Amino acid sequence: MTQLERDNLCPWLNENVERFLDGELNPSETSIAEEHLATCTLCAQQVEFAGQISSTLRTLPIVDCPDSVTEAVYEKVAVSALKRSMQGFDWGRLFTPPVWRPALIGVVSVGLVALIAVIGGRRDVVPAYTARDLARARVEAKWALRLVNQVGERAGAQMRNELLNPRVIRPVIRAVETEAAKRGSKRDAQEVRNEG
Amino acid sequence: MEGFEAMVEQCRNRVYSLAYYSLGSREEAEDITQDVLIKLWDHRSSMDQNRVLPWTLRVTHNACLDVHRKRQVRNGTPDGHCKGGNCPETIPAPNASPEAELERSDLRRQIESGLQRIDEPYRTIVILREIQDMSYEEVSAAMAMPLNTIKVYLHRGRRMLRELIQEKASHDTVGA
Repeated sequence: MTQLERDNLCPWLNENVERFLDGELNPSETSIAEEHLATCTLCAQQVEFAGQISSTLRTLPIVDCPDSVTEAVYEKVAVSALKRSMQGFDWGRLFTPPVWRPALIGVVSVGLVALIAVIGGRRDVVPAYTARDLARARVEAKWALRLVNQVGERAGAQMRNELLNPRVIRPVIRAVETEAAKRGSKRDAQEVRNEG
Repeated sequence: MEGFEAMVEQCRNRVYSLAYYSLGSREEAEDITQDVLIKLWDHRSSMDQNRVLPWTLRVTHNACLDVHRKRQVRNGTPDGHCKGGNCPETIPAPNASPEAELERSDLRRQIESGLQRIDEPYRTIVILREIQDMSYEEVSAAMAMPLNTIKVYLHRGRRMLRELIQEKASHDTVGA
């Protein structure tokens, strides 16, 4: 409390009536207030009036909320809970009005395509081999093909010599020659007869 | 749903009461209470049981603020109170004489009317502390303000209320 306030106790007390009533002034302020109240009727009336307000405030009841309010709330939340449980996620809703949904989907799709084009577009690919590696690979491939060719030729020759010649070709030739020889002697006899 | 009902039972009267004394209208208090309880339903999964009351009171306080702002825009001044004789009954003071009761009843009307004219957050703090008899800690939690601020604002609110009633009384006396 300042000196000015000591000299003007009425305004000071008017400011602090509620603190005085609640016992929240410090002991020295409380005794100053009590001394002043003993002599100042106006301030005493203020304190009494503030006390009446305070006690009347405390007689005001907590007003009961009508049941109709909570019933309406329960009804609303039950309906919303039921709707939510029945709906799940309806993909079809994305394509029905309001119109912003398809528009949003379109915009997102275009964005995705653009993103893929940017990320997955053509790039200069650095080969994992050199020109020398490539030349060497070509030579090796050529040699490998030549080897396969030689193996094939040898296998073919062997098959011809060991299988086809003794079992097919030579017997056929022999049979042809024998037949030819038979026909040759008949023809000779016929020619002799004709000449005779 | 059972958990939600318990939450509603815990806070519905205090929410309604705060809205009622703040706005002085049963209809608006009912609307606000409904909105607050539906918001509570939306937030129930993340709501700790201990936070229900402070949270709902804070939401109610904000909703009442909106209504007061709309009223001020519409009318220039806040509405009157207890239209249509809808004031709740007060708890009679023990051993009160009829004259004292009449005087008290008159004061009560002035207080209820005055409550709507004091500024926020003083009004809500006075309602929660004086009418709803909540502790400073509970009011502090509901208003999300430090305890000392609540004490200072409570005294200021009561002083505003006292001065408003006195001002009105002196105005009425001069008018008569």
